Amino acid sequence: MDARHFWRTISLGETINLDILEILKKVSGTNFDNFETDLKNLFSIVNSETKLGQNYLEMLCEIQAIEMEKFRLRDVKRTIEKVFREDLRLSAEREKLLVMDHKSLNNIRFILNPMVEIYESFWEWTVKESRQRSFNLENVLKEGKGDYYFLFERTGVYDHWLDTNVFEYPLTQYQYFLLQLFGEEREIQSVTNEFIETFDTFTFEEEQELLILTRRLIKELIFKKHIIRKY
Amino acid sequence: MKIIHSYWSKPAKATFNKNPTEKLNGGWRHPKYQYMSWALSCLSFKKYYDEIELVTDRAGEELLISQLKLPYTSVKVELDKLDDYPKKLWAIGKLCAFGLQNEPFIHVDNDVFIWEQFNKRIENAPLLAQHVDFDEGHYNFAMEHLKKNGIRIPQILQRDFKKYKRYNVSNAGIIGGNDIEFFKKFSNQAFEFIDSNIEYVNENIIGATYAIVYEQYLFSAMARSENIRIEHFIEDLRTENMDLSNFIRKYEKKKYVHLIAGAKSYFESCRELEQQLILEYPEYHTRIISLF
Repeated sequence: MDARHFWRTISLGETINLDILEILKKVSGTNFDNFETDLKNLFSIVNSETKLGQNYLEMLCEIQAIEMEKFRLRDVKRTIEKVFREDLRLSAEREKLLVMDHKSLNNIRFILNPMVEIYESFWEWTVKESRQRSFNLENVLKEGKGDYYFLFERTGVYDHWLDTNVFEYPLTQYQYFLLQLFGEEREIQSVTNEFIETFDTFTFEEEQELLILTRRLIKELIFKKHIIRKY
Repeated sequence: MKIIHSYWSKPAKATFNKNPTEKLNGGWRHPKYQYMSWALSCLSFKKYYDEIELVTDRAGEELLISQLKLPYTSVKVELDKLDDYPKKLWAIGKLCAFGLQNEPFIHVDNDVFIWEQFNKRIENAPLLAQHVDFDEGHYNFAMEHLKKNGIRIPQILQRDFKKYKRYNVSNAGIIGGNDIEFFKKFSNQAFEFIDSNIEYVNENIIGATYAIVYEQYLFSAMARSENIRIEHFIEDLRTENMDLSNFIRKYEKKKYVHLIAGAKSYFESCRELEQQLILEYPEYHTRIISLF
């Protein structure tokens, strides 16, 4: 079992003076034969081993669940190759979509890419790649509880560094909301209207600015293939 | 306008380094992506420019011409003479390439891709570069780092900072122009700077930090000292909204992508790079994959 898939759970443990790996070794042996099962039971194991504040227990529970989910989503080689071919097909289709004007795009139906799962969390565990090297759990603790959003995408690329084909990506609340709206197949125009209606705008200029921003957000979702065309 | 790529292969042959800004192994997530980047960069420029020249060494010629079969219109195998230099000085291949030019040119980094020709403002400029680097912090750090490690800073840089009280440095993702004499002087002056400090280039020196001084800062300061205006492709990075490494730029107004700094080590950038290469030049992708 490769503990690098649970680096944030383990790091959180270190930050609060809890040696997660040692605890799991005690339970499952040095080969971590039952790592997955025992990690799932970590919450109750930790609770019985040591008294942590409720906040830390919640954090531990949440990050353990997130990292377990990401680990679970990994694909085998044959599936990754299949996903790669499909992803390439979507990239070719994207070439045609992104040169269309808004009028032409508006009536096209899109849906959330089935390779994508979206999530909410109370702490900011997921950051953009450009920030990952400076990712600091102390900051997560300092920021405190809030509303954060992210997605996992099963890609057609197996990354040797991370030992996974699952890519994680932080979302803004606006991106998350838009992706939720595409949970079922919808026309761009319909989603745009529903999205804009959730905001209070008082002038025509504000409305136009919001429309431009919404179109930009949707364009980015199409570019990232987080939403795909539904025929 | 002639396009130039340069490739001094000695730094790239070093063992894979986890620091993405230290361009040993090119700073890439995996060597195959470095090759894909060479291919997409060369081919994307070839589509819009008749002349694209490669300045390299024998190993670079073997890789880029014999193995990858990239369609450069000319190849100058001139960089083997740099092999006595430490591999930390990975940007000197570019400096050498500047000094070899006798006609107007634009040198482009191998992680720059275009989907349209540059405009006349750029192609007619005496000097051109990618954009002005507003992050002065990098240069503050660089100058302190170099001084701390014994590197003697040239008078021209000291005078420039004394006069302007800021660095105001042009990023050399693309760099070139019509003023060939300037580039010959720049190449000579850069090598003087490097050669006079060669004994101090040891394990303490951060290669990337040194490079931004002898390449970009020196270029910018020399242009100012000679009152030559540098035209920038991106005139204001802040207002032109731009994450240069985002491939969505292919569908925007300025169809230009540069996998600047750490971006070449990102999963997302590498994945997108590979897909673009497959879509546009599949036979080159196949050839690269067969090497691994």
